[in-house]
Amino acid sequence: MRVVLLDGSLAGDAAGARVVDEMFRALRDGGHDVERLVARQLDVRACAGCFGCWTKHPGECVIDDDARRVAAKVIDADVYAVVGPVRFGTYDWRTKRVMDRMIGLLLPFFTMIRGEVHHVQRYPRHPALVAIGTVERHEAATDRTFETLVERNAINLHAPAHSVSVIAAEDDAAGAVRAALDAIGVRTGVAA
Amino acid sequence: MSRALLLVGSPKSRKSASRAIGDALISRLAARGWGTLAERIPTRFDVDLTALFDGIADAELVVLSFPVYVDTLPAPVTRFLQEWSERGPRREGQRLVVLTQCGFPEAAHCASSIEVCRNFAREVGVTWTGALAFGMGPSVGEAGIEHSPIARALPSLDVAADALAAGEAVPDAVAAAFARPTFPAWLYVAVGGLSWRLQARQQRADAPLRYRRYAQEVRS
Repeated sequence: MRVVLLDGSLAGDAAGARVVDEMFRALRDGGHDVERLVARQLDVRACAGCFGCWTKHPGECVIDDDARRVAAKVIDADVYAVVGPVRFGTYDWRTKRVMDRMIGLLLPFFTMIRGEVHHVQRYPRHPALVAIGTVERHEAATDRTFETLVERNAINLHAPAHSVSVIAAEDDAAGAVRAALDAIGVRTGVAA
Repeated sequence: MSRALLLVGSPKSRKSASRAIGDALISRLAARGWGTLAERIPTRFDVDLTALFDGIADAELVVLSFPVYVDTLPAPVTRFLQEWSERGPRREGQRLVVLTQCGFPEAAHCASSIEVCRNFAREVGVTWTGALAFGMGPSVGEAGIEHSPIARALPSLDVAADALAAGEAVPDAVAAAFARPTFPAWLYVAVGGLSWRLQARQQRADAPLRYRRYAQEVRS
């Protein structure tokens, strides 16, 4: 499988980097083609909210920066893996700025999914979504918020499968990462 | 004099639903004797937020108004909350109210954003005073709030202003009035499709709306 791994770990965050490393290792050991993109190193401006990716330059953001390159890689992947810190139950802003710029992968048109209005998918195939949030310690409310958020993302991004996990510093990161991948049918190697 | 600070988290400088609903609320607070100020949250990630935090330090009530992007807060608003939690001011008894909207007819799409803001308030010790969420946000910005689908809910904004001015939370009935869809979903789906095609024509789209810019390798 082709996997885009969006590495949202922060500079100097050893615990977060360890989780990203575990994800990369699990995917590589499973024989997958993994491309790791480090969110904090990308040149990505904020979404302008202009809808130009739908109405002016359909299918691609009107801002020419790294977000375009990421979008092209994500939509050609089988799995889109997002790993990084969770703050208040959402993604760190360096990761979120990349995600905000992906809506051109969807069509502007609407459809009904599970009784709610959502956008229509643009491509015949959209990647499965696996999101791993890292925290210093678990807090039930923020963990739950993040899990719900990723479930909502999976619906809106038309992910054919998804899984989400929140990993704290004291957790078994390797086991949690592999479980999250197993949950969406992604083969992993045997943990060392 | 009590002070309220409106923080607008929309990247749009004009016709922003976030600004429109925020102005509608703080103008009602001003009518009740409050001092009010409005600021935009910078959308450039290299802009220092110190000036914004200075304004927050003076406010008893912070009104945070933003659109939902990909099911949660836009990145610049997320950055702002992260920096507030790390180095922002702490003011005894400071309160936070959230105004948020999405491009779908159902306000339920805003639920995760509200939970994020509630988690933030709890973590930094700001008193949570509720949220107003509504759908069809872009139409509010385009039409002007008095002529928008949520115009019907504006009378209840006075009730919200009364509650906030009295130091109370936004009543549930007000939140429910804003959250109620104006149109049935099927109508939104149909009209939305026509609207996108019209906008594409007005903007002289350089490709069909369903165009696929990126290649997808065929894999077995």
